[in-house]
Amino acid sequence: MELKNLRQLANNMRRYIRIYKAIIKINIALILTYRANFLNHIFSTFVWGVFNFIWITLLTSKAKYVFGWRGDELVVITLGYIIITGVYYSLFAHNFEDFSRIIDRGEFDTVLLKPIDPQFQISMLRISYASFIRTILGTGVLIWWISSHHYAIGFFQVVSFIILIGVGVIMMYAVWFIFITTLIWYPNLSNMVDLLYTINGFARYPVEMLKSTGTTPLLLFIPLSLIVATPVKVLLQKNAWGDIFLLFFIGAILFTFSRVFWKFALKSYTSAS
Amino acid sequence: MKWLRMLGLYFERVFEYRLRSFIWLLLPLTNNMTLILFWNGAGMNTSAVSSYYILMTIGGLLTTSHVEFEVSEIDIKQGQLVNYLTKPISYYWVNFFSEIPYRVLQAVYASILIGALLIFFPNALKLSLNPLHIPLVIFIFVLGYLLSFTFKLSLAYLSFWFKDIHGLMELVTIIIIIFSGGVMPLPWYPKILQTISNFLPFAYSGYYAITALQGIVPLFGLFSIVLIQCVWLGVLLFINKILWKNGIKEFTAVGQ
Amino acid sequence: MSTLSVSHLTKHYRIYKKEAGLMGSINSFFKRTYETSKAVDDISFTIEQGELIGFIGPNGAGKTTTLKCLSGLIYPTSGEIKVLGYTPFDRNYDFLRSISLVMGQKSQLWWDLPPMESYLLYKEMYDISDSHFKSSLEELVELLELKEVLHVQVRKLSLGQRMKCELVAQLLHSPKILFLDEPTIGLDIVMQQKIRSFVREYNRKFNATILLTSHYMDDVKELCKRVIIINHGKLLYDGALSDIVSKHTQLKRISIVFEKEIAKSDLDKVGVVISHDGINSVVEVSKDKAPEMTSYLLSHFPVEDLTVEEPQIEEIISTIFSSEKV
Repeated sequence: MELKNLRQLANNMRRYIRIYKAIIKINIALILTYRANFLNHIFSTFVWGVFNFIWITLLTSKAKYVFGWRGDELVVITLGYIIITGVYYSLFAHNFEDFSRIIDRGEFDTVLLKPIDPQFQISMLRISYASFIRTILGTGVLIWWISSHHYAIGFFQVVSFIILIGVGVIMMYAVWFIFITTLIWYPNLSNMVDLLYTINGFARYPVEMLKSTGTTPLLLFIPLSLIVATPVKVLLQKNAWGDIFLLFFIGAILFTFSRVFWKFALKSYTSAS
Repeated sequence: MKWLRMLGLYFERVFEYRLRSFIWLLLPLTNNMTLILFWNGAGMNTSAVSSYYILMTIGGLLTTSHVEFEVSEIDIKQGQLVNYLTKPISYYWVNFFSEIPYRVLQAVYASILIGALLIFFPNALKLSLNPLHIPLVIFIFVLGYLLSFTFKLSLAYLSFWFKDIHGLMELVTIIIIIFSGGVMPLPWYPKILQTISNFLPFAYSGYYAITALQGIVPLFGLFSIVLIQCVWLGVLLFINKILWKNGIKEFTAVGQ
Repeated sequence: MSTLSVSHLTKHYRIYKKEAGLMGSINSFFKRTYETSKAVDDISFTIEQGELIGFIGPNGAGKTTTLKCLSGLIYPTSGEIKVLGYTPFDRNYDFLRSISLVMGQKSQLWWDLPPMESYLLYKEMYDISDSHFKSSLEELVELLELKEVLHVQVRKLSLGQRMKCELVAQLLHSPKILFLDEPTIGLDIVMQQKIRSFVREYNRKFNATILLTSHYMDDVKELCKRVIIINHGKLLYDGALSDIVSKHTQLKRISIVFEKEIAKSDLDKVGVVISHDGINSVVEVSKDKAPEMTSYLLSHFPVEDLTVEEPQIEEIISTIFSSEKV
């Protein structure tokens, strides 16, 4: 019995991998048809990345020490942010932009008619290769920044950094997905994604910033501000055990909740619409 | 009368999307609140800082036009512009009026939010505006909106020639944020950036409008703001006119 | 067991009402009013494998709602549906693989790419084997004469070609049941004809069950032996199209052009006068009396021209809709 279930799971995994391969291909085809659009995308991704860097450079030119972080360490957070958003935007964010359009035009039905998981469809169909530029840019500048500031960084720090970045991406996905799910009830909030891009910005600052406020509405965004600050703390060998625990713990909760919430929304969509 | 009726229609459309427009308000608000928190952590917990960012939020909402996307993507690229060309109305003013309801609604939202904010943090906002200067300040805001509107509209007109200008638009957005004091008050910037900002129109849209509102500019300063705004508006209107004239030729020649 | 059975299906909606004008907008800004509408109201029918059925009713009659219930997109307020032994709302993947819902106005193809790219993605989504995909695609492309457009960007195709490509995408997995919602909407006469003959061919060749809604009575007239008529969510008729036609063609209409003016009272003994202006008249008589009355008219009046007609199918349907009975 166990074995049969396991085999079924493996088959299912293989099937979804096959689908994802087809998705990778169709998205490459898309680039090739719209080269100008692709170049524009690369360009805007690049300038926003640079902008994030200028932004923190300007701020730290006046603020030398913020919430226990030195100016140069704040720059590392921004670089981590650039790296993480590069991964996240290329894999997920554009799908959510599409989703708000699909909902707005009333085309969600077509998603539900396909014999594959609706959540998979709305989160995975679109890959924005151009956004990877951010990750490359961020990684390059980070390496330069680290070596020019002579941080002591070992192999262990680098590996943990990468793993925690992965966890961060999942956390970011869960947060966005929870927000996006509400579109099922409020289809004309199609600018929700713009809001998400903005509140994502909490991740550019030290988590201590939100913790310091102590006011409930802002504490809600702590999950976002853990995403980048935690791996950066590990990289810079700051005390991070509490945050690592929070990142994993809240991440798991949010991810589970996002799935449950989505299923609930689907049920309400199909009975009320 | 014609414009009044159109304005009425546009207001109706805005009401349909009340939640949407609320989100548009949240974007700059979130951003600027974060910055207040940031300076808090840097030990600059002054009402000057919070006033600056709160007013920047309002100033941005009132004076920043978002006309570019619809004009570029829908009217020019998808060809909807034809519908306007066949009507005896000026395309410039149609867009101008279609945006006003959004600005008004945002201003209403913003005042409510800031009112609520002031109840909890009474020291967060400091104004020392001389009541006699109010009409002049309002005039500066109107000119500021016109500057932003004319600039964005002209930018959108580039779609007559280029297939995809969204990369350029993003770049311009960033330049505007930097050179209009979007990161922090302009005097805090490095000297070189301040100098560049002086030679660009962007700060004259929102930034100087809110310094005027704060009451930190003397009467003479207010007049010089108006003067520079008018000069920039003249320049931009001229560019706008040329782009429109040639763009329309391009548009009809392609036969969209 | 029938392929598809619906019993006492009911679906109610809550609709948001907006008052007209600026004041209306402001009012609804603060308070939205809703009302319940019965989109589908106690409908029952069954369908056997291989049937091609016309599903007709005016706008807002509840056709699309019924189709959405049948394909598992919406959960009925009450009633039971079985399709191929599945309960549609469970949206079992095997169920979804055996049906297709084609909505004429909604596109599922990637707009910026040639249709072939979308097909390849659907192949994986529907888990279609290579060989099946190849043969199925070949067959559909041939039936629909699509060979040249498979590699052309969808946005560059004409409406008709796009609809055909859409059909292919929906049929690649060889569904046993096909729900067609307005497949010919917006197409020109030639293209309508092509889609129609394709639907007939597909039904014949694969013994597929097809439920078709259409605004154009021609679609139904040419394709469907059986029709289900609904209006205001209620089922008005379920049976052979020919029955309903012959029932309503118990009457014939005689149109006459007289050489000189005739008094209306003179025509009353012929039949029911539908219209009369002195020179031109239309008189309705029962079918068996028609020959007798025609010769009576010809011999007793100065007739310049005379024609006998049966009412059109569109007229019959619209009488049914307006009278709410068959």
